[in-house]
Amino acid sequence: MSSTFNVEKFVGQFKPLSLILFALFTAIALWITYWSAKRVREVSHYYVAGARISGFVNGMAIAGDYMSAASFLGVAGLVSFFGLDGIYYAVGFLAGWILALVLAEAVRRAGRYTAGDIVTSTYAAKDVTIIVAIATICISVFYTIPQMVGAGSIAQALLGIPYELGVLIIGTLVIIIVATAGMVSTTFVQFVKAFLILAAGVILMISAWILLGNGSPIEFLSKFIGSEVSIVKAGKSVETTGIGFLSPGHRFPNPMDIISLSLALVLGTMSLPHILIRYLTVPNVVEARRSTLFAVLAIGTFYVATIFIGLAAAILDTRYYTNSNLSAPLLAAYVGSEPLFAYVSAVTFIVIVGTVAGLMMATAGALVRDLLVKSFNMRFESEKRELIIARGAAIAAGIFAMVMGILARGMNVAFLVGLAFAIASSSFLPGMIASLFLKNRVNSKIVALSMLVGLVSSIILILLSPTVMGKAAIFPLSNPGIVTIPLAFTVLGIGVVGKK
Amino acid sequence: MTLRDVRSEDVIFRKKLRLGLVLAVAYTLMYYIYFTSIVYGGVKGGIAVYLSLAIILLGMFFVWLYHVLCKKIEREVRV
Repeated sequence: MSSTFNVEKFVGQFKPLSLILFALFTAIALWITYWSAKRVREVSHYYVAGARISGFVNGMAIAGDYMSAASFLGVAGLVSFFGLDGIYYAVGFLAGWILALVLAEAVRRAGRYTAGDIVTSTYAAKDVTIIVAIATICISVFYTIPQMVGAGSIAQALLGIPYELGVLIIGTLVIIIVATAGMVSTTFVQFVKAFLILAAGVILMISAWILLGNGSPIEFLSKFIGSEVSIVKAGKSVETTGIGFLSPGHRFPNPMDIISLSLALVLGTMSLPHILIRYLTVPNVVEARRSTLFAVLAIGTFYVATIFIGLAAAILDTRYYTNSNLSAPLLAAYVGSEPLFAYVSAVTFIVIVGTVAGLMMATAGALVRDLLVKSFNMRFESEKRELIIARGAAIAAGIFAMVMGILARGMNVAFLVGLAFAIASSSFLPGMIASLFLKNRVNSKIVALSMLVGLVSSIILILLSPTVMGKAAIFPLSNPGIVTIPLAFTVLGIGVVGKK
Repeated sequence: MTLRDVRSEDVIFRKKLRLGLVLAVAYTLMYYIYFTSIVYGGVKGGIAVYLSLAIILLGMFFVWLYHVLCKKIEREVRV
């Protein structure tokens, strides 16, 4: 099934309505920041919102943090270009939350201000704290780059403003939010953002059902299977059937690549520092559990929506062949014309603000608490002084994110997030498991070594992979998780056996 | 908090951890069965999409189930 939809009418054009809506959402975010700033008086307010956030608000904030531009634009785009190989991302991103059943309450018990606290609550040795800080910063950088790339490409393609200007607007807004009221404003911006993006996803999904399946998802899928659909490879459309489109191998011809990616997604979700610190903002373990419940209900609904959005974009061919990230906004333009397109564009832009703000909080906490205070024994004369340093760290992290966003222009955003998951599951997860469940069964040197092995091996294999080296790649897989995760846990396992 | 309270909190924590582990292992197994059936088992087309949606919905159900069972554990141990 093909359509006569003209994507050029919407891509790269200046859209006043999108800009007005974006300005409105920005005003809401800034008002939240102003309101929150009055509530930040102590260090704990800045880092973890005083641990007074309710389970519902925190759950939606977690969902807001997790439902990033990479999810909305990247996953929907990958589904629309590659069918089943894109759907793996949606399933994997949700499946990773199952680990929260084991980890969420233990994380709340162990942590205080930063994700690193979860590891260092048991292993406070200097080598562990340094590696924890470096791992947190590396994961946050890998996760931030795609968000900023998303910001620039949306700004350029959907709002009609230059790529660099889009990155600068998002970066500045994030710096204001994070440097002013820290976790308090970040939480409420993410809370509002969760509802905005969920609404966008659900509206698009239901519109697709109505348009192609008379309101029924089953009829929608039946129609999809019976239609002619094209796969997009190297910027060109290749005709196939509905079943052909929904066969594996269009993006990952090597099955090991998919297994490696799925391992990283499943084990990486609960190892992401910006997700872990959200569990420290609630008062107790019961609220931590409630957070998971609300987060997973929202995130699950969202990923169901991205699958249908991607499939609808493929069948209606609302795809921009040289940029997979634009399929969802262009579908919005198809089903709801300019107003829905403007809403989705503006929401996607503000969504990035919430996610990057969470990442900047994790980075600032790692720089100040894990690196300066714990690793280098720096003492601040007052809480006010530490607040100033933490805000300075957040500003520095924000500027770094802007520079990286400009340098990494043109990369696929969901794919880069997959790499952040690989680093998180290879470095942070072994440390967390050792701290929460192994305690005295392994010594701190081994914990540090397992985290270091996971971190270094995942970065080296990413540098040697087709992602960076293209056809000259030395390591054949795009995602190193299948090698690096077992490697890090093997080191930890040897340590446990050795101590016995 | 009395010593008895501390003990019961510890019992609750351990029971919930065990429950979480059982559910997480069960779900992960299902996830990898789904995965293998597509990558190596030749499952494709509408069935693959239905399976993907089912795995997502099952994940949401497992988290809800865990929440309900945890509340039950907390009630029973504290009484």
